[in-house]
Amino acid sequence: MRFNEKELRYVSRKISADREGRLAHKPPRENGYKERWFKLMNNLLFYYRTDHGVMSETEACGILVLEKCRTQIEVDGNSLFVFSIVFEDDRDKKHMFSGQNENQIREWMDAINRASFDHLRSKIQVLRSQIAQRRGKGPALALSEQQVRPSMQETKEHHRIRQDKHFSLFFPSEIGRKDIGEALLVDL
Amino acid sequence: MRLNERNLVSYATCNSPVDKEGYLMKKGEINKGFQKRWFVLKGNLLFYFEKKGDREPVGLIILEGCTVELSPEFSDTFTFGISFQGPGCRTYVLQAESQEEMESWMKAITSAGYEYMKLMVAELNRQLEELNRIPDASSLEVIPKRSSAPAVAVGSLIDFGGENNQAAASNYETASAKRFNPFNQELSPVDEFGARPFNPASEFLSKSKDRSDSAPIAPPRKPRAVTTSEFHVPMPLTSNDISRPKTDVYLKRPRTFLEMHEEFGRQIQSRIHRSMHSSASGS
Repeated sequence: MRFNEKELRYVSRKISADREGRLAHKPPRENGYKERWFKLMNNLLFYYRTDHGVMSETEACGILVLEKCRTQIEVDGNSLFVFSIVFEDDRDKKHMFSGQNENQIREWMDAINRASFDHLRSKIQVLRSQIAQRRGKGPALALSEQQVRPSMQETKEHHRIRQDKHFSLFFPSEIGRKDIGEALLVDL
Repeated sequence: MRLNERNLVSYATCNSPVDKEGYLMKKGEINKGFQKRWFVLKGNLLFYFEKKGDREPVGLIILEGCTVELSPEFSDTFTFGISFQGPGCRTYVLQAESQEEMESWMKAITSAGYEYMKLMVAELNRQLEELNRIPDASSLEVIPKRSSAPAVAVGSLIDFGGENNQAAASNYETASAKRFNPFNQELSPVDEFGARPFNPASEFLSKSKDRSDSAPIAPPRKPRAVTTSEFHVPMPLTSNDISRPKTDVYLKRPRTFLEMHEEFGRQIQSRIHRSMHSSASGS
């Protein structure tokens, strides 16, 4: 599958990241960890080669598009603070990340969990439900009023969101749990 | 540059929400002719297939740091471009069959940006807070920086010399006979309830009067307070605006005196603060 690689490499020179930092990275099917500099921007996780702990190139050497994925804490004999990113379509293949302390990897996991477009979308739905509820209308009215992103499968999406929330019960993220709590409160 | 391609191939055809799909003619990069492709837009990911129903996309355009604009060379057809800045970077030239189709795609791709969604979340949060009657004393009301019309920055993380786009735009806009620029109308279409949906993308479409503020710097990730010479007090949406949302969400509306007072007070304080700093560093 082709993609706009050259253009993205240029973009990667100048992004202002939501979060960035150094992590050791072991892609699936590879044996060792390599130190990389990561920059998270929206749902795109760019990574750059490093030299002695700092970025050694202006352009990213890779990018992970964070959709349909989740993070979890991992136990790895050699390092203490490890988490993985696993994509829904291929749950056996783990991207492993090793950090410097627990706080750091928790924050990365939270940021990654919140990065996907789908997450933003469901957050919007939750907010609209809450707003509608405050106004004393049912959430169904809230859905029909909003045509900002006319999705072709909007009603199906509503059901899917509920399923996704169920799925996300296994996420270690605090944010995920809070979202579920609120969603359950407003869902009828 | 590595990419988690296999995950994306699955994502393209999975049941996640599709924002827009349809056939468009796409101009080849090497082969200069147009080829028909089935396009599927999911968030900021624009996939294209050889035809509808194919299991694997031919390609993907990740919509970050790009601009959507009319195509100058094809002004007598419904052709538009998704352009990326940078040496050797290409513009994806796409062609629709009608004005409506072209307009619809241009708007969909423009509002595909993550920034748009984040604005939406911020706005809804604000509405919720208002409803809860919690005075939001901690943050300044802000408006996003306007980029120059009619080229619209998608992703808006990089702003490469908006002036160039403006010049080019004015040239071919007058030349075009068949099509018109959807970004010249700031209003989004009215839906079946007679309401205009909230469209913060209209913030990016501007007939920018303030050309002095045209420095080609990267727009800030977080919106910043306007620093023009006049006080600008942007207004959040009220409950009335939900049923009849205005396209320009920052229209003035009556605020309580207390809110205005607080807002002015903060602005005055920040100005004092800034002028103290600049005089401290010497002039």
